[in-house]
Amino acid sequence: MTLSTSGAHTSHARGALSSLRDIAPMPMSDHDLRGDQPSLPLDSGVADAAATALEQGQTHYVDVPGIPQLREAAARLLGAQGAACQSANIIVTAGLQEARFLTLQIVGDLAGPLVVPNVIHPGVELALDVRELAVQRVATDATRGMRIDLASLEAALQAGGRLVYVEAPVRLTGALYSEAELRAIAELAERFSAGLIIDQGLAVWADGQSPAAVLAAAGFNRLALIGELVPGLGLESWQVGYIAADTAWVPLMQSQKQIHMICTSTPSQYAALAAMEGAADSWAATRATLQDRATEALATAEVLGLRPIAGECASVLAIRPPDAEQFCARAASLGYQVSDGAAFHAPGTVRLAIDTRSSLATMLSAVVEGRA
Amino acid sequence: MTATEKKGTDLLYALLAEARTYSDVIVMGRGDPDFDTPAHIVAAARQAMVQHGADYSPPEGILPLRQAIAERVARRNGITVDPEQEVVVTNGGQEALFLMVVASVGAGEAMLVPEPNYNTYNDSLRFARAEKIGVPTRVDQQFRVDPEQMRVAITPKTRAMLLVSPNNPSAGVVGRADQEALVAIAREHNLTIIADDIYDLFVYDGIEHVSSAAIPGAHERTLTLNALSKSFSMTGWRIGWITGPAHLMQRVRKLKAAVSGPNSIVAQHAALAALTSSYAAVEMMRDTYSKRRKIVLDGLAAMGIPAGNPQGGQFVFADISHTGYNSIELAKHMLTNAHVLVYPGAAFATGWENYIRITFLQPEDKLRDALQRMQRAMESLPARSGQGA
Ligand SMILES: Cc1ncc(COP(=O)(O)O)c(C=O)c1O
Repeated sequence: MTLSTSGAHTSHARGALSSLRDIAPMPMSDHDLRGDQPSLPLDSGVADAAATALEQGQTHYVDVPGIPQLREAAARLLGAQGAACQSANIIVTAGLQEARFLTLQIVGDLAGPLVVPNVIHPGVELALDVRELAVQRVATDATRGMRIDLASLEAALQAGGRLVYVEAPVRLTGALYSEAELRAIAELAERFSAGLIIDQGLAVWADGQSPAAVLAAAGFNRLALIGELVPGLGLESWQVGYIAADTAWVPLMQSQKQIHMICTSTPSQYAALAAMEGAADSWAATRATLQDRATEALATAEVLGLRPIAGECASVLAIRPPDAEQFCARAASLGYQVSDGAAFHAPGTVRLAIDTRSSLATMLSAVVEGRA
Repeated sequence: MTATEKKGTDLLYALLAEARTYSDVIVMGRGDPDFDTPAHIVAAARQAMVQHGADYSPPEGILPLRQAIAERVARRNGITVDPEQEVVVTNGGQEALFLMVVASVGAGEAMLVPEPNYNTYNDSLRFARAEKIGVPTRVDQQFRVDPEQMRVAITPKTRAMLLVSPNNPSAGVVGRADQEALVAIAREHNLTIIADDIYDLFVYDGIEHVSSAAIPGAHERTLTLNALSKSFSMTGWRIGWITGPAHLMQRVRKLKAAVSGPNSIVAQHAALAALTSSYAAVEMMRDTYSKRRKIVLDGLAAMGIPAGNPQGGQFVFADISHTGYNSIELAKHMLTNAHVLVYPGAAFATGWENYIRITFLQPEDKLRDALQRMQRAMESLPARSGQGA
């Protein structure tokens, strides 16, 4: 990104919000394990802030890239995570999918050909399908949680690929790229004058430096970071995502956003703004809870012979049961909805969301042992 | 690039940015109603945040909202659709129009576009790498879309026909006989009709609004959009929809999932509240716009600016050719000297350099103030030989 030099903003977190918040009961299914992000109850103050903004007349069109306060808060938040980023780099999107669409279709058209991992979230394929684009596939390594194989990446860049799409962590497995791997990806991109699109939406659920921080430290600028803006804070269905991109890429994406949406829904933006207060503390608390659950689920999956794919990210567990189809069918018969890895181009793999509300280990035992 | 060098939507945004630098500016450019969203809808949203804030929505929108939309288009437009298969909720009319265009025309194909027209259709065609076939309409014919002119413009690459009624910016309305003739042409040439009904509740002087999809034989080839932005003053919420036959909606549904996934759950519940409660606020707004429209037309007449007799919409499209100034020059002059923002016709299509679009989405006293300021600015305009009034 062509960005400010300072990446070290202090967190604007104000008072920890507990991971399980005080709010009226909401119907949530403990059995839907397909979520990309853990769903937690919404803080009543967040809903109130959004409603109050509406009552004060914030019901009109707003700026295409987002309300200024939210862009500033997003830049501060990413800055606190180590990215070098200013509000001019930020486009607020109506959820992660719009961020995928804009980066893949608009930056992809401008700065491609694209290089896309052969195991990838189905939302990426959907976005690629909207209009024909030059796309090369790059191999992923099943033994490394479906992370991109670096030799294959080099070959793709040698063959002309110029914009690499990376999920860091990997959406299917939660596998995190190490700092060394990210630096190696940045070096390869630099060598071929290629750019990077990094979906770092799951990064809050893993310990360690955010991908943004590693790339900022490596001085890599030809970059678009995307993700859910306030994951795991009860706003999943409110659809707020972000793009933090090189200023050279922002105007074209902003133009396209005007063309297909004008702006992101205002109540969602005001809610996200309120939710960002204290988000970092809330994420830390949730991560700790999820990690306990994840450790327990991983051990259980091992014991049950479900061949878990270890990932550092505490919000998902991918497994390769001996018969994935049968596993999914049994899960469904017990009322559980799970993600079939086939949708990620990884047949035989099953993705399960880890949540703070229920024990995944218990679910795994129930499915394998065929009891309700 | 200065504002006057920009084109299309970029030009309008540049003018809007300049307008914001004047504290006393009166904006008669952007189509954003001055009314806030009616209070009962905001109250429903507040409630929905708590009760439904974590509910799942499929990309095409929650079923109760799709049912309410199906009921709305049946009652108000005479369009019958199956809410399960034939309705997709979108982020405003804007996402709806983008998805309709991308679903209907691909690279190298073409769409008939009556002009002048809302820019985003051109922008969407450019995204789809498709072509626009512009079909001009005329002020002295109340911007009528002439079916015969549309027919002769069809090429072997033409796949779709756009009908925005009432039109933005011309305010022209496609009457029943023309709708029937246009549907017949679309059937003859196997074209998809892209119908934009976003101003359907805003027709004046007893004019009837006719939806293309309601014409017999049209449903199977018509995608229709509408939105709550203009009708319920809900521009910020981003709620619109597309209705159409299942075989076309399948592609629309997939595109919606690809471009943005589901709409915000809160906005969807607000929309549900809007569609299932009283339309009194909409009717109040329509009556208000009708009065304001007269104020604007009278004001323009006093300045000697002809604006025809617009039949619908929330704006008038006025012919300024007699001034000798083109629309960008005049819009700039109005902005700088009168602090009144009007949109230049040049931004809507080439060939409309002698028109300005003026919205009436401001309270009456502001409209009167703006028109007085415009009159003074017109008087201060150095004389140039015009093209005759
Ligand atoms: C003809 C027409 N269609 C669609 C739109 C999009 O409206 P929105 O996305 O705000 O619902 C507009 C906005 O001005 C319009 O004039």
